[in-house]
Amino acid sequence: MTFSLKTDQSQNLFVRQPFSYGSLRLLYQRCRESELQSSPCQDYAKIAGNADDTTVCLSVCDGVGGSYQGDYAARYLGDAIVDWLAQMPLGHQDNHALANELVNQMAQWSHDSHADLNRMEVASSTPALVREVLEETRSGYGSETVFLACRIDLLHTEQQGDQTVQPANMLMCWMGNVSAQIFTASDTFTAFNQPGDDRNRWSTARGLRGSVAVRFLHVKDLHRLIIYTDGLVDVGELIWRMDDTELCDHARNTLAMPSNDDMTVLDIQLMRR
Amino acid sequence: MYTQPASTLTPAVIIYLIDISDSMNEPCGSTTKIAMVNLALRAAIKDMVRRSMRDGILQRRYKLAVVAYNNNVQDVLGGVRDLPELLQNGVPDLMASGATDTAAGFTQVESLLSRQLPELQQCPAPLVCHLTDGLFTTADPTSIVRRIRAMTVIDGPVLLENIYVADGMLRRPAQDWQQWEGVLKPNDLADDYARFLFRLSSPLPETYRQNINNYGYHLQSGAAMFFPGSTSDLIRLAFVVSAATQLK
Repeated sequence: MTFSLKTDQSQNLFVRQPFSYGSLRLLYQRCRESELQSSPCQDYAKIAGNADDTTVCLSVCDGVGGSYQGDYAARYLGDAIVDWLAQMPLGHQDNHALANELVNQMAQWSHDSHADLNRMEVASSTPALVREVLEETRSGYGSETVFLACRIDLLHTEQQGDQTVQPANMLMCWMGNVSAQIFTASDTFTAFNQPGDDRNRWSTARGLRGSVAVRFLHVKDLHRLIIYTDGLVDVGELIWRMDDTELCDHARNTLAMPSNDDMTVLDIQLMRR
Repeated sequence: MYTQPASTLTPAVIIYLIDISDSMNEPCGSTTKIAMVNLALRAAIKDMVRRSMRDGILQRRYKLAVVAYNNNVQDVLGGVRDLPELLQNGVPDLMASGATDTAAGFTQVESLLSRQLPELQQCPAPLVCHLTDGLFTTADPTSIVRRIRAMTVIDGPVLLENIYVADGMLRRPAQDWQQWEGVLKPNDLADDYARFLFRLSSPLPETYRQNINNYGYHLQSGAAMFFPGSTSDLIRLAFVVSAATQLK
């Protein structure tokens, strides 16, 4: 993997950068509470391309605030699932077999990560009742996250009349309310995993809570992929039309709202060649 | 109404008004009423802690006051305190003695709210959770309660919850409190003082009802913020209601 970017959970970030087949835009903004407390963002995003960027694997995770250190689960799963996606063989896959394999992987990741989490000490200055809640949350729920991860295999471009189209195979998997939009034209998208699913999640203590969705897709002409967390749910349908300034302004303005949450947008646009 | 989330920017204010008259020392199951109240208060504060945690850090999403009354009124925390500040000093443990000056207790609550209200306009509507086990022995508090319930912020008027610690007040006793519908009308109650407190209570906001029912309860739409405190389970439920402010 040569092209790689992952978020630092202690820093806000806005970046637009080119890669071999297009450009990447990433907005990563901590919520107001985290900024005030200098605590980590509970979202996490990672993207990695292979040597020639024809395969791109990515994850966007949103740690569950009420769980034990949701930022930990988001980071752990975000890294693990990108690695898992990257080693998958190319070509068409059976959705059911893939789902089974992923379920087994996620169970193993729970086992490994929860042991790690249990070794972390609660600060000695923590008030007794807070310690009690933290320890109950750690043993009962562990660290939890929702996520959406994707592998994109870009195929050879095709000529259709005077148009060049970019076919792609995509493998998508998700739990909970991280949303995606797959654009098959500059202004036409199909929404995956509409907002509102707050039941399905991955837990270090309990493994899968709910079910993981896995879809293999062949897209005849992939233009763009947008993935965003629920901190931006109120403008989810509009993100594709926002330029960089509008997107950053919206994120900053949202911080003044009582209901503000961590915000992540990962926006990959493929160039037409 | 009642949809504003409890957040660091807009903390929820909850005032517990607790009758600590001598009758609260009476037995209740295997313990006393006041011991049961102390346990329920601790459980409610623990719920608030749970609802305020982010990244292992307790956020300032709740502000609390505890007003205890018998012949006198004690402002137990010395005003309205942030939850983290309260926990540094530990959860208060109340002792019971004396008579029941309910009106004086509500007067203190009115005074606390009057001072706080201008700062709370963007916050969730404050909630007053009153717990008593018997009839007031001094003035009727009705007019003060009406003034409190007329206080308002953008989210809605101040909420008043009443918990009446007594037996046999429900005409249809519940077999399973998890399945209980709540008190919907005065005729559901067999006791005059229970009906008096019911009429002083706010309707249970829909957001609170949904948040409570997420814990496995089945309170019905139209129920009042009135709870019989006849068992520790019910007192626990009633105190959980007090912390069931909408979260983001």
